[in-house]
Amino acid sequence: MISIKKLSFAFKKGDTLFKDLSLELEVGKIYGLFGLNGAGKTTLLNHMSGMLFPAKGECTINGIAARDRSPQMLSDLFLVPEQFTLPAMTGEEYTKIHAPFYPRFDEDQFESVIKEFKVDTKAMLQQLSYGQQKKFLIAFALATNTRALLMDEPTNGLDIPSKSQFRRTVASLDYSDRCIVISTHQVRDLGAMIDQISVIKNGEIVFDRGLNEVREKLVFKKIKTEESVDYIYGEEILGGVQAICRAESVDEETTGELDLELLFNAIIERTHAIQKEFKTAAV
Amino acid sequence: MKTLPMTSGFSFERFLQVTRRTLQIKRRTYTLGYSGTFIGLYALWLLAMLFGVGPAEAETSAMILGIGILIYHVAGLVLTATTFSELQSPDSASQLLTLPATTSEKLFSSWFISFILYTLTTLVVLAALLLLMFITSGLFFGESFKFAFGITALEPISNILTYMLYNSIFLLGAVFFRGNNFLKTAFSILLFFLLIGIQSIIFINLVSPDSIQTFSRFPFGLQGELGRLLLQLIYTLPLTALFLVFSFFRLKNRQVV
Repeated sequence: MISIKKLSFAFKKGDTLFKDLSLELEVGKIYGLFGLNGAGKTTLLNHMSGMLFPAKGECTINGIAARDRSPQMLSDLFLVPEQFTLPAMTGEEYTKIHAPFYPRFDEDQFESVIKEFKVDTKAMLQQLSYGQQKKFLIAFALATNTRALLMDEPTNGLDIPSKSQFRRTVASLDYSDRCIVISTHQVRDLGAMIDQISVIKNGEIVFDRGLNEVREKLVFKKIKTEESVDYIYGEEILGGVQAICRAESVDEETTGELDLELLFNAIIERTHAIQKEFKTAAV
Repeated sequence: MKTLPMTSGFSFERFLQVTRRTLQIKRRTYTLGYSGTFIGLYALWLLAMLFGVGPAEAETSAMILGIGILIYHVAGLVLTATTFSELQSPDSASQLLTLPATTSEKLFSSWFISFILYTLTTLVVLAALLLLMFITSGLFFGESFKFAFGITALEPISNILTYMLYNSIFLLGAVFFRGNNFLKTAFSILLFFLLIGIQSIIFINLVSPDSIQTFSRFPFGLQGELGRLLLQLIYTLPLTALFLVFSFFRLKNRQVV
């Protein structure tokens, strides 16, 4: 669906952000694109949507080069940017004008999500709060039913109930023929809804694995101070260490839920050790 | 809801939808601009008529029309310069750049609005203003309205051609510059003419000061008003096309940086 091959990019000459970055994203999955601030998550999404052009390599959506910005490609892709300014029109006008560009737009789905999010579509979009605008754009994005849906920090600016609404809405989606990419640094917010985790570090994808595979190979466990257990990565907590261990070395009954934030920190701090557990490097 | 065809070539339906979108966004600006200009010009004419300020009645009408044409040029170019205002900020650029339409549809739509539609609307508004002046003159000033504008039949066409050329330059400025597009484009034009002027003076002085005579004559025996208009057409049309082509490539390669 989305194919990035040997992509290199720099905002300024000599200040390389990506070097030979490759990534394949398939339909039927929700990807969590994680990375520290400034890692290049937004830049990568901008490449996928054709808003930035690679210096080397290519980025294609269903085989069409993203940089061509062809109507076929764009009508099957929607980007919810982190920061955005919506045009000066009401929500109803926005929908009336923009929905015809998306052949799979579902009005009922849009109405249902808008109702769930409690957004007034009769009001001028620019007069709504940032959170309300974001909820409007997310509702529109979900209703376009584009096969590629890119969301950059979708929960930024949303209040706590809205974050729950967002999680519920995405969880209820039928994404069997869609590829959803959620870029965020707030790992905890979206952990429950993703199928695959892709991590960018130093301009490379250092980890790209399905969560089922992660569960097979790693376990997340609280190790008490008095216990002596080998672990790959751990963070000190009250009374012990919250750790990531090899699955075969731990009794399954004593393990906890997959802690995405811990996994992310481990990938960032101990990249090679984590990659080694998956035998072949992610890239 | 009707969906648009997603073909690779130019689609008239998509072009119309992009045009509808732009008009919806600029609706307030256009409405305020036209109504403000209409009311302003009419009020100016009324004041001149009531208090006998300025030239005689016939010339007053001509003066109002002259101001109208000046506003047509200046306001049109300001609007053209802001036609791609969404591209000026990375926050709004995604709305236009990821809109499923071709670059030619987006550009042609902006050209259509800022030149064709804008000129036609201005002509209708100016005609409506003349009609109102005509009616007011007959009803309140007890005399028939005089259409002594002092302009010939070809002058409006010449004005439109001039606007067409500058419109294409400002359209290029709208996609080329990032912010203050009107001022930057106007400054670039000024700089261009200044350089051409200096170069011409140097060239003429180097070759022969007498050759100035040659430059003041129209080529190919094109004399008179029609000749001047034809000459204007000869350089305006290709130059306009050239600037539109430049704008196309600039828009096609525009990125969010």
